[in-house]
Amino acid sequence: MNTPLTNRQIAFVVYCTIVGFGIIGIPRDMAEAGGTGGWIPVAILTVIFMLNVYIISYLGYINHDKTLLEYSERLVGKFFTRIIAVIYSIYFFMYFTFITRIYAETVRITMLPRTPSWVITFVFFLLLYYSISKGLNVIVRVCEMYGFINIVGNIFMSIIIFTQGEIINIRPLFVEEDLTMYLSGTSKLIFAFLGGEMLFMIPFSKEKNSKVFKYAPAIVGIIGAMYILIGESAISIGGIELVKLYKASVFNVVRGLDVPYLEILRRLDGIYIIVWSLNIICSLSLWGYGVQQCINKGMKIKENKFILALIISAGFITAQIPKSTNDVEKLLKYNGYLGYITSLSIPLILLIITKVKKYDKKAL
Amino acid sequence: MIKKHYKLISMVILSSLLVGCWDYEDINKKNIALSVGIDDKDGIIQLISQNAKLRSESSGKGEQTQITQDYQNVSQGKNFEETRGEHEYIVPQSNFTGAMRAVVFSKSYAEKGIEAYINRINFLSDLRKSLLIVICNEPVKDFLQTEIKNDISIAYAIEDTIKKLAKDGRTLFKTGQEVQAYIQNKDLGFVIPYVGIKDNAVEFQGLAVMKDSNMISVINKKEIDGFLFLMLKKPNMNKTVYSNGDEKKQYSFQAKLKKRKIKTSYKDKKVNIDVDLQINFSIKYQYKIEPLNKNKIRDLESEATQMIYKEVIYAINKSQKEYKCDIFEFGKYFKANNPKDYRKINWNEEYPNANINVNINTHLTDVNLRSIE
Repeated sequence: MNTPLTNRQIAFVVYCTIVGFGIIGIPRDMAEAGGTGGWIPVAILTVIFMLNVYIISYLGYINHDKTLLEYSERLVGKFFTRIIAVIYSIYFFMYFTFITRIYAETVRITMLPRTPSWVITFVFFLLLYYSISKGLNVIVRVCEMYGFINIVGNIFMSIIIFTQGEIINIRPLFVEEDLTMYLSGTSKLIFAFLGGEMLFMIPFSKEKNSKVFKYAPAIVGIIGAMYILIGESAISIGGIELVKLYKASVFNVVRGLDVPYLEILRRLDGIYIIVWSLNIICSLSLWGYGVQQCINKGMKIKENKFILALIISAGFITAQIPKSTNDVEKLLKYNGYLGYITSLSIPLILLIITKVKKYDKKAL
Repeated sequence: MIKKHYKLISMVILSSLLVGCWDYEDINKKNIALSVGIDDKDGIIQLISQNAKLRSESSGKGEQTQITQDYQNVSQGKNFEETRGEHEYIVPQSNFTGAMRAVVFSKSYAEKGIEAYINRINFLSDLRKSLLIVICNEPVKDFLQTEIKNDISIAYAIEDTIKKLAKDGRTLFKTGQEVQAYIQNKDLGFVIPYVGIKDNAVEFQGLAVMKDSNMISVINKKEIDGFLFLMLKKPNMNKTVYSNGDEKKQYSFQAKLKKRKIKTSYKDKKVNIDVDLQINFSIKYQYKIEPLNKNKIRDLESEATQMIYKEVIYAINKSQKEYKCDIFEFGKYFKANNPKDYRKINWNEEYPNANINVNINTHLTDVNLRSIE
C-alpha cells in the first residue's frame, strides 16, 4: 500500500511530468511563437496551466484517497468513465512510448551516432520497468531528488549561457503590433506545458494535502519562469534566427559554447545531457505509471508485474513502428492535440459537474 | 537464492548491451585532427587536414610519445562530400575531430563564401561548433605546413594567439556557431580574424570583413583600433599621444572601454544612430620625464579623446562608404528600439546613408603612481 504523498512530492510530480522532452526545444518554440517576445505566450500559458493544475488538484482533494477513474463514476457514470479511461490510457501510452523513442533518437544523433536507437530504447524501457515496478512512492522520491537536480541544473545552465550571450539579441521584448501573434503562438507552446493531468492518477490525502492548491500552481509558475529563463538565455547567444534553425535548440546552442572560466566544466553539453536525461527518466516513469494506473483502474484489476511487463513490451514494440524521427514528432504533435481534451476539457467538465451537483460541499 | 541469480543474469545481459560499445573506439585507431584548412583551387575545393602523429618513436633510450609531431592530408573535389570521400580513401583510422583547434579558410575560398562549411561545422555532430574560425592570407596548404617555433603546432599557435589577443581586448574570437548566427542575420556584416605567418610564427594581421558570408575586404591591424572600440566588449589599447603636437614629448596611455551606449531613431525617413563611448583613460609613463600637473593631464586627455574619435569615425566611414554593410551590429539596436520602423525599411539599404553621431567621454582613472604637482 502506498503512503500518501506530501505536498512537495506532488509538486515534483507536476514538475517532472511537465518538464520532460519539451524543454529541449523551448527556445525554438518560443522564437516561433512570438519572436523576441516569445516569453509572452509562455507567461500566458503559465497562468492558464496554473489554473488548470489548481482545478485538477481541487478535484483530487475533494475526492481524496481516490484517483480519477474511481471518482469519475460518481460524476459521469460508468460508460463515460470507461471512455475517459481509454482516452487517458492512449494519451499516457503515446507519450510514454514516443518520448522514449525520440529521446533515443536525439541521443543517437547528438552523442552515439553508431548505436542503433532500438538499443537505447530497450535499455531505457528496462530501466523504466524497474522504476515503475517499485510503485508510486519510489518514483516520486526519485522525482524529488532528480527534479531538484534538474531545477538547479537548468538555472545554473541558463545563467552560464546568459554570461556568454548579449542582451541586445533578446530585444525587443514586446511589440504592440504582434499581440495577435503572441496569442496565436500559445498553441505552439502548449506541448511544453502538458502533464499536469498526471495528478488525476495520484490519490490525495485529506489531512496531508490541504495545502496542495498552493504547491501545485506554484510549481507551474516556477516551470514557466524557468522556461522563460532557458529560452531567453539561448536566444541571447545568437538571436532568434539561430535558435529557429535547430530542433533541440537548447542542446545545440550549448554545444556551440566553450566557457573558459569553468575550466574542466567548460564544455557544457555533457552536463546538459545528464541534467536533461535525469528529467526524462522521471517524466517517463510517471507517464508509464499513468498508463499502468489507467489499465489497472479502468479494468479493475489488481496491480501486478505481469501487466506492467506487458505494457513495457507493448511500449517497446510500438516505439519501433515509426520509421523516422519526423513520424515520431508528428505522432507526438497529434497526441498534443489529445492533450487539449485530457488536460483542459475533461478537468473543466468534471469541475462543472462537481459544482453543479455540489459534490464538493458534500465531500468537505 | 534464485533472486540473486536473476540479478546476476540481468547484470550480465545489461552489460553486454551497454550502448557505448557501438561508439567505442580505442585512441590508437583514431585519426586525431588538429585543424582543418579549406582552400579553393580554380573552383575545386581543397581540404587540408592537419593531424597529430601519435606513434611512439624509439630513440635508443626507450620509447617516447611525441605529440608535437603532426602531418597533413590533402584531398580535393568539387564538393565537400567528394573531398571528404577522397580523404577517407587515404586515411586508415576513423576521424576524431574533438581535439580540433581551428578551421582555416584561405582568402580565395572566403571570397567565394564560407557558409557551406560553416553549416557543415554546425550541423555535423562530430565537428565542434565552438571551433575558432580564421582566414589566412596565403594558400592554406603552405600556411598549415609551417613549422612553428613558439607553440606545439600551428593549430595550437592559431588558437592561442587569437585567444590571448581576445582576452586582452585586442581582437575577436569567432566560433562556428557565432559565424552561423551572423550569416543567418541577413542585415549584418561581420568580421573574422585574419592571420598570416611571420618568422615561423602565426601573426594576427587584422580582420577580414564579411558580407553575406563572402569576404569583401581586410582591416589592417594598424588601423583596427577604431573598429574594436565599436565591436568588442572590453577593448583595451595602449597608445602614444604627443603633448601639444610635439613629437619629442610623448606620453604612453591606456584606453579601456567602460561602457558603450547606442541609441537609434528613425526621423524624416532617415536612420539616426548615436554612439556614446565612455572610456577609462590612464597615463602609463612619459617618454621624457617632465613636470606633470592637472592642466597638462587635461590637455593630454583631450588629445587622446580626439585621437580615438578620429579612429572611430574612420571605422564608421569605412563601413558605410567602402564595405556598405553594418559590421557593428547597429541593426540589432535599431530593431530593438524601433521594431515598427525596422519592419518598414531595408536595413542594408538604409545603413550606408544613416546619420551616425559619435560622442566620446574619457575619464582619467590613474597616472600609474606618478606624482602630480
